[in-house]
Amino acid sequence: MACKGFDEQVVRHDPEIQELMEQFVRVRIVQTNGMDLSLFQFDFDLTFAAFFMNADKTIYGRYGSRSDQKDPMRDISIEGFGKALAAALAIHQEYPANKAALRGKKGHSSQFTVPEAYPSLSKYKPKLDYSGNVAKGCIHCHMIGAAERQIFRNDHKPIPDEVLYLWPMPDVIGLTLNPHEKATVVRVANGSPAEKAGFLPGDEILTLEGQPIISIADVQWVLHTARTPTTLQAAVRRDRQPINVSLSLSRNWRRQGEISWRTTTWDLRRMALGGLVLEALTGADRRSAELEDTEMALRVKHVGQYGDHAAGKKAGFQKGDILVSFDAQTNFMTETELIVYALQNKMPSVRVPVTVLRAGEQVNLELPMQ
Amino acid sequence: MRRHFTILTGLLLLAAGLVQGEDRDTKVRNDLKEVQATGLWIYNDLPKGIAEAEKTGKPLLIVFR
Repeated sequence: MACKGFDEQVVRHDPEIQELMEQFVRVRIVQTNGMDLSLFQFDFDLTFAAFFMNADKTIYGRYGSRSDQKDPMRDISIEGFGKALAAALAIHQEYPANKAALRGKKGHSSQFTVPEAYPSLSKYKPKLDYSGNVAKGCIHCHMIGAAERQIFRNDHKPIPDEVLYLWPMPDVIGLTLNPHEKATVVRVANGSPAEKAGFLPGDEILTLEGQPIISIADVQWVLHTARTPTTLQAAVRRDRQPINVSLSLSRNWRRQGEISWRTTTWDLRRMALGGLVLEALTGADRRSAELEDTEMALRVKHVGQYGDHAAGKKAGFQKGDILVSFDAQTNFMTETELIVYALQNKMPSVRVPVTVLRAGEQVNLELPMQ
Repeated sequence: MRRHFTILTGLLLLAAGLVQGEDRDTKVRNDLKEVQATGLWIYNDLPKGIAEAEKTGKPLLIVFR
């Protein structure tokens, strides 16, 4: 995996970043057992995440972003990491004069202090036993995200947008940032909140909500913790001049996001789809199924085979089925939209009516929610 | 005959699973050895890192992997 190569470059101090790395005390953590969840809040679907911090636990910034399962290097680079390191050092040199601006970089206290305090992770110990089954005793980052969602399902409560559409990439608001820089705009999407705010390609985001921004992950942190609806204040550098920008976000702005790539979505599929994996039909496939572009058409790409992930299989779903209706609704165009609807409206033990196309015929089935 | 084949298949799968388990454990242990051998990182010990940062006045870089 490419991300492994990135990690190795960091571990062995790639020459491009060696000088910068040596100015830090470097700590490598390979477990989340015992991790302080009030301090270390990051995207738990990442396989590489970094914090820049003062010894008093004031956070200077974060590094590590991902928006694609197959290409973990799309949103990170050694060059960008080096620029974040340099910016973190500059923040450290100014510290503590800049302490107030950094306050927002730390999140609110977590409901559970450490991962093993979550009911579904209670079998894990706070420390790894390197003499025993060390890998088996390790709480992986993604397991924390899954444990959080399970709390909502256990309580029969809808999982909120903030928990499903977590760590939004700037693309969600119409900003594509350059992974080789700290946070420089490459593209602004037409009609997006970013375009309406006046962002332009080439803008360097200096601060967001008053927080110094040193990486794409820092932008994600502000978006992740933003209320909805809201207006965020940004300071950007444009043609060497500082400019202030107000970014207005509507109530449903997070829903532009896509979660199907996330590792934790595997468990959401268990809850909402009985272990089915869906893909949206496009182009020729739609035409051969005689479906219009505006009609719901989600094909079963994979059917789970074991345990709770086999609930869809047991309910009669087959690979290749095309879902055209879910809960008597026909407006779900992506797997993400369908999962979110189910997790916010259909609680465990409910059976949802689903219509599929199979060999050109309509088949009515019931999908159990878990 | 079919029963023997099923049992044999089961044992092979179990053995494969154990080997896979060993591989993952070995990988974790090797990471510890290899990273410690570089002498560049404090491994899995945040309090030690914080103490070092307090002593040296350097900032911390904490990598989760």
